[in-house]
Amino acid sequence: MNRLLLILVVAGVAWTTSCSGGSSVNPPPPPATGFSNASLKGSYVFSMTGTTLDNTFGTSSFSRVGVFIADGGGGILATGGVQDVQMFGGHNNFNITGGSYVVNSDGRGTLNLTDSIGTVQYSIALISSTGGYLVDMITGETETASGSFSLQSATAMATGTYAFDFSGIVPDNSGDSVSIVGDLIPTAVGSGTFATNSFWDVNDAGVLSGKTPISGGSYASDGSGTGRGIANIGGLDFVYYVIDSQHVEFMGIDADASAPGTILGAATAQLAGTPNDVSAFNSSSFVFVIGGSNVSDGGPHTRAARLTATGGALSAILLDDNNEGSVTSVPATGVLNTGTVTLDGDGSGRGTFTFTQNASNTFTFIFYLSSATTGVIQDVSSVTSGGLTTTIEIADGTLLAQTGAPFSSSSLATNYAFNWSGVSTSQEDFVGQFAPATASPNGQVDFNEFGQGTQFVNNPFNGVITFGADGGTGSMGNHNTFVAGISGTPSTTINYWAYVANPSTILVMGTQNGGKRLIAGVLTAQTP
Amino acid sequence: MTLSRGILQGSLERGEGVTKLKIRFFLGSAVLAGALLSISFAGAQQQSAVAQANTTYDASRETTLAGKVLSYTAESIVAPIGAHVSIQTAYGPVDVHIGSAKLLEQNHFTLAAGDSVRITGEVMSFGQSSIFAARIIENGTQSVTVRNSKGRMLQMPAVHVAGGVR
Repeated sequence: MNRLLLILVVAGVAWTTSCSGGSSVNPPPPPATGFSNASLKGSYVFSMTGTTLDNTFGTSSFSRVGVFIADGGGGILATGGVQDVQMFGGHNNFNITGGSYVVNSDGRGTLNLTDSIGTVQYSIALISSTGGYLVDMITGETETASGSFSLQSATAMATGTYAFDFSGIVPDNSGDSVSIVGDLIPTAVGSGTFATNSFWDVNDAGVLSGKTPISGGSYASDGSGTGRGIANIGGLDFVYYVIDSQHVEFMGIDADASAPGTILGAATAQLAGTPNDVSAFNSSSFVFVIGGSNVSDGGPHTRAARLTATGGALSAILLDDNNEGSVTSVPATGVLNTGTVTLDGDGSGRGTFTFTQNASNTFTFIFYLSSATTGVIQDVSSVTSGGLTTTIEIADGTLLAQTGAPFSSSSLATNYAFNWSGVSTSQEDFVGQFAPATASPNGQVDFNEFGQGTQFVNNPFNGVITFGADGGTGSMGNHNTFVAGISGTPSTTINYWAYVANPSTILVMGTQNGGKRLIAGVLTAQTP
Repeated sequence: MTLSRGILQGSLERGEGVTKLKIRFFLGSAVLAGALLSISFAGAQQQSAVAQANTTYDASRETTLAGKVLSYTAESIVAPIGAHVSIQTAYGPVDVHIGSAKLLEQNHFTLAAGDSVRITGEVMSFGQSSIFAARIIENGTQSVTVRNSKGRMLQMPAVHVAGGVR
């Protein structure tokens, strides 16, 4: 009932981005894909980052991480759940004291988590019973966030070499954006110190650290049995939650009252077979999408790319860039066939991609691999003008191998859950589900446009993926497109380039040229 | 987000900050008057303004202007570029550099001629002239922070790419 009222209240509200005045369309019944409340059962680690507004203190980026326990029947347990919140420069820890959820047959639904302060409403889309995506849809507030949740199967940090990616606002009262990628090596299960051959690469407002040993560092479980612990990494304090023996979520908890911000990220333990030498690359294609902000004025910036590594050489390079609404492709047509890939060979999984567009523009990316097919990636590209070389942006994301090509409509999964986060007038977040082969509209979407009353639910959605003539790989410079049509009120169309990692995972980057919307995200095949 | 949700620990810090802000306002008023007079009038007095202005932001020197908005320009071509607001103060008209109009838009914060505003910041030199650099702008019950305590312009949110589910 509340959701229906919300829809009625927001009807007619002008959407400040490229929305048309949509007619009222009854949402289609969700396609039956086999999900139900029973699909969400057990302890789930969740994490999210977004933006919140307080009328006195203005906006602040914020993050939440924690654990909720779903009972498989629509209830959230009143004990055993916990969450940490970093907001307005302060850190707090709350017990989750209850809540509820609904999972529809299409995997979409709602999740309400209650703590001593109140209840926050989320829209969710399940990928499987082991996890899904969520968007903060809190009512009566101006706040939005995107994140994910994953079924927890371990509560002690395991040993191994973890590739990690943290990003946000550096807690030094500067307000500067920061991206940190690296490898962490816990020396004992549960609590301990990080080994001396842990490294990181920091991009702090465009100032690059280079590969730097992480000086000191420790981690300790809080003994609650929730997987929660506290870590110090290179002088920064974090709370962390263990998901399983390979995955850990981290959130920065250092105070930063003058320029409140937050750091959020995840670490993934390396699997056997993670490449340690470029000889492991044999026509190995990769795709990635990164997001962040530019150095020049802090405006939003996204990039997506594909490339092929063979030994130490790169070929079939295609990169798309959206810098505050200025969209360009590198090269403008076709692909670049000259570039280099390196691997440090020290077990860290660290390497670099480097290629040059012209004398002024060199593209360099640092990555840390966690397997032959996954890793994290940070942009350290620069531009040279007047003899001065400057870093372009502070941005990072996920690196994925491209497997299973060629791709076509017939190779698509039956259903996809999706999550996109971006900046239009302010931050916006989308979560939903669609079935590509189904007639329009082929899904539904919930989204939050960062304002009181600008949370929209159950909007009809039609997603169309069109593959380029090079088998959907982009290896000849052809773009795949993803057109996300949102109808109902408000309505809009978001155009994306689609970078296919495999038929189950498609990365998307918004292509609105000259507009206000910069957005990126992922489509993930559902398996009920 | 309501204050109570996120900053149970941080609220004390912020309370102290408000008190300090008020103290700074009274201490700084005399100095501010001289500096603002220099900003308000072109010509010979401009050099005087530069002499009194600072090249780096120091929150300990902050003062607060009060007045009515004469005009607001979202994308000024007058350096420093960005959003400017001109306000009528007891010392005369003052041009205030806000920085990013996008940040105001993001905060649902508006400025219009005739609005009574309070702006906390300090006079800074910019080339051969000077400007009042705003850090906090208050318009009625609305408030927005546009600079941090080191004077760095606050930014629009960055794009965060979904990491995906394991």
